[in-house]
Amino acid sequence: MRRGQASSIQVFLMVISPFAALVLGYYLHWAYVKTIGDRTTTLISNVDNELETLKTLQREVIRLRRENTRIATENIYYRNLTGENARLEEMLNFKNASPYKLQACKVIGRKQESWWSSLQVNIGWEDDIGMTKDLPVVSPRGVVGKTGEVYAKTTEVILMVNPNCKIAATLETTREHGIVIGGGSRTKSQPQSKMTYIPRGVELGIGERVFTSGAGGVFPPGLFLGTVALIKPLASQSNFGLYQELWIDPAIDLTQLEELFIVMGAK
Amino acid sequence: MRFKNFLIFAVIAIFIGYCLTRSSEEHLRFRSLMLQTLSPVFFAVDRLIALSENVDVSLQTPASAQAAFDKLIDENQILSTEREKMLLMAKENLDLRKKLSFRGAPQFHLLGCHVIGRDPASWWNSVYVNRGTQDHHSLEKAIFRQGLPVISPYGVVGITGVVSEKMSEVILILNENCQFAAQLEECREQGIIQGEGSVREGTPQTRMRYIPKETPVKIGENIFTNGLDGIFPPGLLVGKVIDARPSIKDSYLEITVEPAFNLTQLTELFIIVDEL
Repeated sequence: MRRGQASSIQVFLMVISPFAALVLGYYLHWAYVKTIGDRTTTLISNVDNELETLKTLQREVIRLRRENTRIATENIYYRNLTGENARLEEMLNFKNASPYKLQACKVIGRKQESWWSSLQVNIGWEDDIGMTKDLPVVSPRGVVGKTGEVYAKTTEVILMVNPNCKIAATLETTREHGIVIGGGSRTKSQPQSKMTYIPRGVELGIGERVFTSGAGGVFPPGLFLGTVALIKPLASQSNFGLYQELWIDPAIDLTQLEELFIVMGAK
Repeated sequence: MRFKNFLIFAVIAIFIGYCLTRSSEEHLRFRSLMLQTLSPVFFAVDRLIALSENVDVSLQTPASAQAAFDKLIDENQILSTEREKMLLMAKENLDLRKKLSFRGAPQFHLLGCHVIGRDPASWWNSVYVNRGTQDHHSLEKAIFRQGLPVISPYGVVGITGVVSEKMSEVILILNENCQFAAQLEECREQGIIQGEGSVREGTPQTRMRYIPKETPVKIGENIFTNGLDGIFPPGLLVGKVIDARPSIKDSYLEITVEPAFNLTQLTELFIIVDEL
């Protein structure tokens, strides 16, 4: 035998011998090998199942995290409706009880530097052909002001604390008439209006309520304007002491206006 | 060689000059086109990051994953119950609006989006999200556009900026180009929120403007949107006051606002799309 042939046979035997040993072992100890094989298969299958369960759980956790984030965001968006629904219910009750035709509108803008002077609402002559200048603007809690310029889809509302807003008014207890004029300048965070042309002899009290008298022809009678906050001494008044002047706190917080009514006339 | 250099310089100069003399609409269109061109790169990088982030340490064993799953299921039930109540309220709101003859009852969609990129040099200015004009089909009567409010469960994030087909820019509330109306929680004063646009003392902040000097603003007071800007719905948390001092320039307070949450950690956001 040549030397090359001998080494080839050695290599062949070395490769084949482990397989041959396995085959031999398999036939000789069949049950033992089968048990090991079965156990290995079960183990692999268990690990595989566990991995599959883990993957499913991981996928579910990621999906739930996303879903919870979405629901939480939606809830935050809707949470604001609690207060809004309460306001709208109050408005609906007021509208049903009112003898006037009321057009609901929403505040959509106000100037930052003169927020107490005027604001814009989301209704114009395109929405209601009866929309004109000088219509009373009210909320269920009292008078807000009157309409100013009317545009196609928006309208300016001149607030009652604006000096350009003048309303014929009456005092609740004495029934004395006067004019409520916007206070203009803003000395406190809550601006005020002043009531003037009240005769000298009339007795006035702090906290007395003031209502529209209907005498001006713009505002219907009986709408709540505000309460007396300060009675100016006669000497300090601008009309030479001919009439009494007093300052009025508006019935409603004019910084918190959201939904309003425009009085369109009688029902 | 010199001529060649001169030629390159001249072409670049003409291009810059051309860009600078374009109108803002053309600038916007150009930026939208750039965003559209770069979107495959953003998406590829995002996918790579997502692959690396998928290795969530808290979900590595079946027991820990099961615990996280159980916790989320409980949370989901609480949130869903709350949502049921909220949906009833929304229905009641629509009924009331109808009875009061309000014009255009607001309807909205929350469009979920994922942050796919941000400018590393000025991270406080804007982020990019995986939503664009191609999402029109998922919106019934609304249009995906510039200037839509972007929120998260923790509060206001910003507004959409440049919009392309597949991705969009979100201008964060720290950016000076992001302005909207807001209200202080306790004293109820209304003002404008505007981003500072630069990092001062490490953390970028926003400012609240037009609050009169005599207003009793408290440190730590919360600020919410008031809906007067026509962009954000009212009642969303913006942040809290961390400093308030009278301005030397005008008759207002200089109020520094810390955003409601960490804007460096943005991942899942929601764009509010109103129905037209």
